[in-house]
Amino acid sequence: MADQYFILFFVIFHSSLSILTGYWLFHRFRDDKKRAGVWKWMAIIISFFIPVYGLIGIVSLFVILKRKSGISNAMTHLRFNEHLQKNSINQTEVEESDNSLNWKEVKEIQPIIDTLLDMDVELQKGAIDSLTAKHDPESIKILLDSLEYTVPEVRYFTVEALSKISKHYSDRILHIQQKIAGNPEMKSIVVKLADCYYEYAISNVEDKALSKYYLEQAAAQYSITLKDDNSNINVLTKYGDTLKRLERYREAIEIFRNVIEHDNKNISVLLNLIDVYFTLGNMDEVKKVARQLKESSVQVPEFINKAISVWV
Amino acid sequence: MGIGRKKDSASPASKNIPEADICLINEGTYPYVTGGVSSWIHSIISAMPDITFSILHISPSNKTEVEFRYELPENVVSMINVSLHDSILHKNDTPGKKNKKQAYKDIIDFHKELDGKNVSHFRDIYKHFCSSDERSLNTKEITESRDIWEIILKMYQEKERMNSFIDYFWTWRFIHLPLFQVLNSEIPKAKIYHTVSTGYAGLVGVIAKIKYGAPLLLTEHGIYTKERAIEIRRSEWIYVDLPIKYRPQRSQGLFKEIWEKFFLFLSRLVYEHADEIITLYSGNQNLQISHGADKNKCSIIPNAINTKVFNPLREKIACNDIKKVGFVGRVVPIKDVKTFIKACKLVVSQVENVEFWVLGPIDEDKEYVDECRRLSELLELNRKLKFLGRVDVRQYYPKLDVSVLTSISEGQPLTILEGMAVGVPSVSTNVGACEELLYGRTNEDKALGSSGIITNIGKPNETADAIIKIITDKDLHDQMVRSGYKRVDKYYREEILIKKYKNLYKQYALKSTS
Repeated sequence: MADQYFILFFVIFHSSLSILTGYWLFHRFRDDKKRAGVWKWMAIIISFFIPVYGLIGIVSLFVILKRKSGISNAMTHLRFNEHLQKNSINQTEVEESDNSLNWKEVKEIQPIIDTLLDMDVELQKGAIDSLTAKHDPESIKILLDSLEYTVPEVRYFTVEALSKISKHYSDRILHIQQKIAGNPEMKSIVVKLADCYYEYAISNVEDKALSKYYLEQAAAQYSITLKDDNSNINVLTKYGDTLKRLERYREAIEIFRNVIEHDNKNISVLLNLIDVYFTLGNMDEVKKVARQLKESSVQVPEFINKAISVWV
Repeated sequence: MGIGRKKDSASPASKNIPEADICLINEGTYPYVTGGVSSWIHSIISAMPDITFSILHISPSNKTEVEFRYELPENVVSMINVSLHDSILHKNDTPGKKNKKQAYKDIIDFHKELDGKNVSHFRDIYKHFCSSDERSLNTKEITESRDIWEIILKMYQEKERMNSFIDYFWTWRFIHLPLFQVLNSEIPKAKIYHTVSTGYAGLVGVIAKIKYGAPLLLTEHGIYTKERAIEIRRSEWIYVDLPIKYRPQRSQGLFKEIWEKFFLFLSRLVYEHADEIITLYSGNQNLQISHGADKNKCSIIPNAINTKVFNPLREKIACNDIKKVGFVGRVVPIKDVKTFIKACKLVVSQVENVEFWVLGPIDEDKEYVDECRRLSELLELNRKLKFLGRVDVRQYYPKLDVSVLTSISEGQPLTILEGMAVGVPSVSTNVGACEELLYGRTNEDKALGSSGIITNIGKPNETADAIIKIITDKDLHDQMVRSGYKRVDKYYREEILIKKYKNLYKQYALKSTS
């Protein structure tokens, strides 16, 4: 709103000044017969065209600045969201500065990506081995992407590597399912099953549609657990994140709000809440939660601080 | 000779083996294992009753293959089995033992050749080991003598000092023992030798060519060197010293490289000695040329099917309103059945009344089959997806609406051709000759239209989208069926293939007798 008052003030001030200048010029040179025509036109230009074009200029400038600020907001959110995606709820490393985190990853991954683009097939295969050994979501994504551009011999190893990684998750799930079948009373195993589905879904090893299926399974299992104990912050947090990933935003907000009621300094949940509100386009809520995060005086990474300062 | 016959009775290896017109040499396929190569061999033999064949089959061990999977046609006059790893330390006579020193020198030269492109020293090795008149060394001597120990030691000290000698020694031994086994094998006499791969089968062909002066034909369905390279890289029994986990290596380790070079050498040797080098499609031909095959000897004869068997199946069998999606192939990792299963899940989430059949042997890799079953269970597909095992596909094709192939590697899969003949469009990964089978090879062929959809490998969503497109769009389905009929009738009839091979046999038999 402050911006709009400023613009209004500037427009009135600019127009008045132009009109007054025009009026003064008109009267000052009214009697100068030789130059009366020139001054008359000068006065018209100053008192009419300059305010009109000036106004258009000012409005354009305002629109451009506003858009830039919007883009910067979106960019901030994108990076912010990326940070959330990379660090699933239970892994968020808040104590580590954001820059050092990125550099660490870049230093490890970039040479491998460069190697994947090398002409030498042996090196490409070596890169696949290295990414498989890392098997974090980022590496898995690179493995999946490499199926598009590597030679068939290399692709064979990539598919095999991905198959191994997905087998690791599916075996764990089936193992826990068997345990549950044997001990239906043990609710703690249900959380493990939900966690397993959740980790499988966010591992990047499966495409979007299948990941969604695993997220749905995770949500179902979390919901079963919460029926008995709906105050478990850890479970609630993961459930909320699962719902967010399933794009069930209203339910996710409800869960996140529930967590904040118990723990108003839960940085992961606050960040997720900002993310959900931003996705829904509710900037007022984004700013509110960002303010809450700022006021909570918890130590947050430098990058998040910057993001908050954009919104608050 | 019939199905289920024990191998012992089929491997006489005696000196009274009758001479055949053609000796077909294969490794790990016909008649013990079903699949594309075996079907191809069987149809060639069956379609030429006026030509006699002997079969020389190479297997890892006598204990591995027990039962025949095909009934041997009447024109097969002999069947010999050579097992690579049941090593016998042959103590053959050595009439040329005065040339021992030269033999050891030739062994060193031969090994130097393994790195280069020259294969000329193989003839010396043949003379020292195989020639009954000039043999100067037998297997016992070459594996147990002090001279050979000195040679191995010298080779190690010259080049491979940075690696463990024990591993070097055993790698050397494991590579050479099967080689001696092949060099000492009894090869039936024939007018023409026809090998269906390079590798050990090709080596037998080369020995036969040198020994009997007969022509040697090579038909490679898949490229042997490439397949072995994949196996070697995956193998865990070859020692690898790679200390830095996250650093991509240019080398896969000395011992794996030695194995790979050895198979590359065998390919070069066979390409050098073969009179004709045939493959199924241009992609493979390019690989052969890049591995050292002479362009002028190379030709393409595509796979084909017996349309008399498949065309009568064009009458569709209606199965309620349930759409049937079939995977026709062995349940082994190279077929990437897991991608098919994942695609099934995606299809089920969008289309009701659909059922999936996996039609193919489930006894070749039981661990992988278990993994596939578990995946199906995990995705709650058990009611929709059925593993039907080894079946007579002719009974199932007429019931299918679409056939799916998710392989990571293929040559020219028969299942696509069979599908086209019966009127089943295919969804296939972009491997081997699949693209040209479904979209056409030449402009004239392409004008016939597509008979299926090509997808990228390891992409269940693409496979699922293609399946859905075919089963939900009747016009598209029918157009693909029509294109398939035309394509298979025009380019992939068995008569065309048989005629081409018959001509080749005639041409070389004439050369052989002249």
